Amino acid sequence: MIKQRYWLSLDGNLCKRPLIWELSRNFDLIFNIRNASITGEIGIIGIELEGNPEVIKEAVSWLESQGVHVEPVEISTIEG
Amino acid sequence: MKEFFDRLKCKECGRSYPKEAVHVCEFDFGPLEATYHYHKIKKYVSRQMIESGPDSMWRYEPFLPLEEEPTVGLHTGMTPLLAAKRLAKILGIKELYIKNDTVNFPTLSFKDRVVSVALSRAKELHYEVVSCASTGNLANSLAAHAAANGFKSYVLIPADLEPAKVIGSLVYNTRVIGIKGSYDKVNRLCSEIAGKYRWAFVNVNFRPYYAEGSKTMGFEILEQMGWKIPDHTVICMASGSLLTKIDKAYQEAILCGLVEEKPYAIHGAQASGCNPITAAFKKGTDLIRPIANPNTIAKSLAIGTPADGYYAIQTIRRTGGYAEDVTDQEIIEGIKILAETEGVFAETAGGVTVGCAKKLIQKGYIPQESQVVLCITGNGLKTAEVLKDHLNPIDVIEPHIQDFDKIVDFEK
Ligand SMILES: Cc1ncc(COP(=O)(O)O)c(C=O)c1O
Ligand SMILES: [Zn+2]
Repeated sequence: MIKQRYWLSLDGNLCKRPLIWELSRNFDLIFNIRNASITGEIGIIGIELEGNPEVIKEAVSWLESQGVHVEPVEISTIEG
Repeated sequence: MKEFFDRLKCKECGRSYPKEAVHVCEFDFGPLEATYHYHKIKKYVSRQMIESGPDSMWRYEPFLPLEEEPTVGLHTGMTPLLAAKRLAKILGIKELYIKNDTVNFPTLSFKDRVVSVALSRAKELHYEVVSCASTGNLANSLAAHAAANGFKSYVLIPADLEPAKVIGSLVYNTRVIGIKGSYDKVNRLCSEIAGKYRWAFVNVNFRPYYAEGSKTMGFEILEQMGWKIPDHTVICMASGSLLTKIDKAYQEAILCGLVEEKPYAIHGAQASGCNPITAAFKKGTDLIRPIANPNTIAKSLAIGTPADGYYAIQTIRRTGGYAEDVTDQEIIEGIKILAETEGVFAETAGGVTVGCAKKLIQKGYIPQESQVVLCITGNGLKTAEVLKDHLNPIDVIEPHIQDFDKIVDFEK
């Protein structure tokens, strides 16, 4: 079991979908939403996923395949 | 022994954290920031005291997050502020200044400031290995300072970086790891590495210390302007950190009585090929839409997910500034007019600042009757290849005076 923290960014059309619910149905992970800002056009969610590392990886790939931009919380790991 | 540096604090919820190698809030993932005992600093500092301090960024040491004397980068900073009269004329502005970090020591960019603070702190916390993921300038600076201070270093870069920036890291005998793949993938790997190895990752677990180093560019501007806040400051943005920290320096200087409070505007500049911050600003939102595949010659600014973008937008809005971006062509023109009028050869990031300033003036966001400082943050020799095909060719002649005369005649 590991914990991973991510920022998810989603476009307007995805904001209306119950994505996190779908995620919880498809993957055996514990979720903890820590932060969220949503407008009509864009949503940003800070989330902690806890579980088997492989399952977390699969969940991240699934989110990406749905059009979500997934970024580790250690963002800006690249700088000028 | 310093008693000015207080603690780390979450920018979102204000929770306190110990002065360790931590960088995000456990509760809301907000970034942690260094805070100080300003009442003590205010009693301690004065203009005279700072002016008689070291001829480096360390004259502002009371405002930096260290507990002991600095040990790394003792000669960094105090770069020139040039009165740019010729460029002012061309841009149609009354009073224009260039804060010239193209000649910062030792690696010719403002990153020497942040690395000096981060590695001084890394020594205090007894780290022996330092690392970063960088699009070039940060890698150069980290490698140089690590070499000069006995740290082992690893720098991670996108595999397709400008040659001068790769050599400018390799020469210090650091381990350079070029990472293939899209920007997102590189970022993901870097965060995994940062989580796994107990190193001082300057822009990850040392970010709260590192970022404070950028304030010194702001303090120097104030001092070199004769302890005045300029009406307008134009700053290029990658993560947006430099912009927020220059503003923080202005605010701290007001708070500690070094300058008088007055209205000032902070403007942000990006390349159109990677403009997550300026795009959000122009849309009127604070929420940044990440850019998955940046595409611009300003590689040092090509950060698709800017960590401080939200705060940069807040700063720009609060001060009544504006955010603008420029195309690759405009970046090249910016580099050229700065060189042709002021003799300063800036890298692409500098071209972004000049190009955006020009647009801001044309659009009236910077009025002609004002006083403007442009932050020029990196050296042109590191990105020289972008000018290929954009400069006059050299004249090659036979070794005869007649041939030479022909050229001069032609020019007359
Ligand atoms: C030359 C240069 N200027 C400006 C920046 C922007 O810095 P920031 O990430 O603090 O916005 C960078 C690097 O990121 C840089 O290399
Ligand atoms: Zn917090």
